[in-house]
Amino acid sequence: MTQSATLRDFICAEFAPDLKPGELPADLDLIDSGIIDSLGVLKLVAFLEGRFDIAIAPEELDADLYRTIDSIEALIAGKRIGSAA
Amino acid sequence: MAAIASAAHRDAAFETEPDLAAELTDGLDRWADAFNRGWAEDDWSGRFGEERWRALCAAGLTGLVSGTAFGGLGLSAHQTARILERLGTICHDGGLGFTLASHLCSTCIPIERFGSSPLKARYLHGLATGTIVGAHAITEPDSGSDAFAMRTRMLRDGDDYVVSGEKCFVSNAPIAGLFVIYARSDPDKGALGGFSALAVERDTPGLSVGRSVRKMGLRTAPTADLHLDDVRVPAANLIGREGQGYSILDYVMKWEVLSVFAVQLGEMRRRLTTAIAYARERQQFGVAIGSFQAVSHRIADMHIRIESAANWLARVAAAVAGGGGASLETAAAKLFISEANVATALDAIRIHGGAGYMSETGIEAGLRDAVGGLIYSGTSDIQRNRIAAMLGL
Ligand SMILES: Cc1cc2nc3c(=O)[nH]c(=O)nc-3n(C[C@H](O)[C@H](O)[C@H](O)COP(=O)(O)OP(=O)(O)OC[C@H]3O[C@@H](n4cnc5c(N)ncnc54)[C@H](O)[C@@H]3O)c2cc1C
Repeated sequence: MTQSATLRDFICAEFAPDLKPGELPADLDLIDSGIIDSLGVLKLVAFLEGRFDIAIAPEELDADLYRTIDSIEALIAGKRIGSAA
Repeated sequence: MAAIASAAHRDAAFETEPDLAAELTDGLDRWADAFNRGWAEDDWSGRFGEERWRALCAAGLTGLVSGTAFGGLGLSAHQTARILERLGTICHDGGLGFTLASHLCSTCIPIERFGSSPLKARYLHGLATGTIVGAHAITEPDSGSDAFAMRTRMLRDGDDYVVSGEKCFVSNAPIAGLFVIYARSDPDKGALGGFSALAVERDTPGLSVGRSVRKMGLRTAPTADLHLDDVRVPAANLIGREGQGYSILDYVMKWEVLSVFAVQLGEMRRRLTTAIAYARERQQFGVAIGSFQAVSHRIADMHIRIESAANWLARVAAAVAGGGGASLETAAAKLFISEANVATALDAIRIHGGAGYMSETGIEAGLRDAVGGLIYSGTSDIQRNRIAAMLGL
């Protein structure tokens, strides 16, 4: 499964059981739309750390980083580049 | 500060060098008398022991987490936890340990991690040396567990923020020189992005500190409410960015669990040692009470709780050090250790019988102090909610 599919599966299963993973627009604002709330961000962070083997710093508990599928993927990608360097 | 500082500054590989660890923690034992002098009378009258606080400052404990550039020791999460645990073991004044832990996590931690350079320069030295006592204000009369329902607001006006609202149950408020106030900075946003943290000096016009409130336990750790009436605070006193209050508080809460409950872990260890000694020495029916399984099993349970608590605390320390989210670990550690502390304190009273119930022996204070741990830093119910949520419920 691709990273994007894994992420979509998790978000739908945890926060939006009525949505199908493939139908979740990559630019949908997950926070303003109410799909992910403040506790949801903590759950998402725990999932990202466990699943993608990354560490998310306290400063990165920032709503903007988790707003869309695109922004979350960018966060993961940035961490992976950082750890490969 | 010299007592423990010399070892800390040589510390790079503290975690793997047990000798240095021992030097740091053992250095504290010399201060035991100074930390304990007069505490029982003060616990009874609800007085903050200023002279005991000064001893903590002199031992360097107020500077554990602040950077060396500001007169602190700049210790890691593991090191800090280990030293605070030792403090709990030697210091009978539970309120003093609580005051110190509140001081460290309320102000030193957020300013050290998120503060601007000028903010650090302005406050960290005073906080590290303990000449400024720190406190933080989150809870309000209508928002406790639901912390981000807080109504205290901060509005930008030129180079200042103007803050208004009510805060309650603020630990250290009667003695604090600096408060970190959490307030709503954007009424259109929720917990994420709508709140900020501001460093507010005690003598800022419009800020008033209520009378010291009486409590069940932790009586030497003074508590009061705050009233903020159009308090004008320089925008430069913003900690981190505007809207970063949620992430700052999340980080602070991890440190709060680590530091407050490291002290409690030490207190539990002391309680166990005392209970074992008493169970060996106290004779009834012609034998030591420790030979009764009812007593020895209670001691076995105390031991298991303490070692489990130590494991949970180590997981929080590792998470804080590694920079990870660790929301589940923190909630589980807080829940487990606070409940273990109450259970252990009650067991200690049972083992000591009537003597345990009498204040003179100093054993009952442990239970009164422990109960607060079920409530502050998020109640046990809230921790269970959080753990369940992290498990997908
Ligand atoms: C010793 C001590 C020191 C403190 N120090 C500070 C401090 O320095 N700064 C500060 O800002 N605050 C401080 N507090 C306040 C503390 O954080 C709050 O008391 C705590 O968060 C609980 O809020 P509350 O008292 O309003 O209780 P409430 O939130 O009203 O809770 C009442 C009861 O309802 C339960 N409950 C509430 N919501 C839920 C839910 N969703 N699910 C299940 N059960 C629920 C609670 O578990 C509790 O049993 C301190 C408190 C104590 C006791």
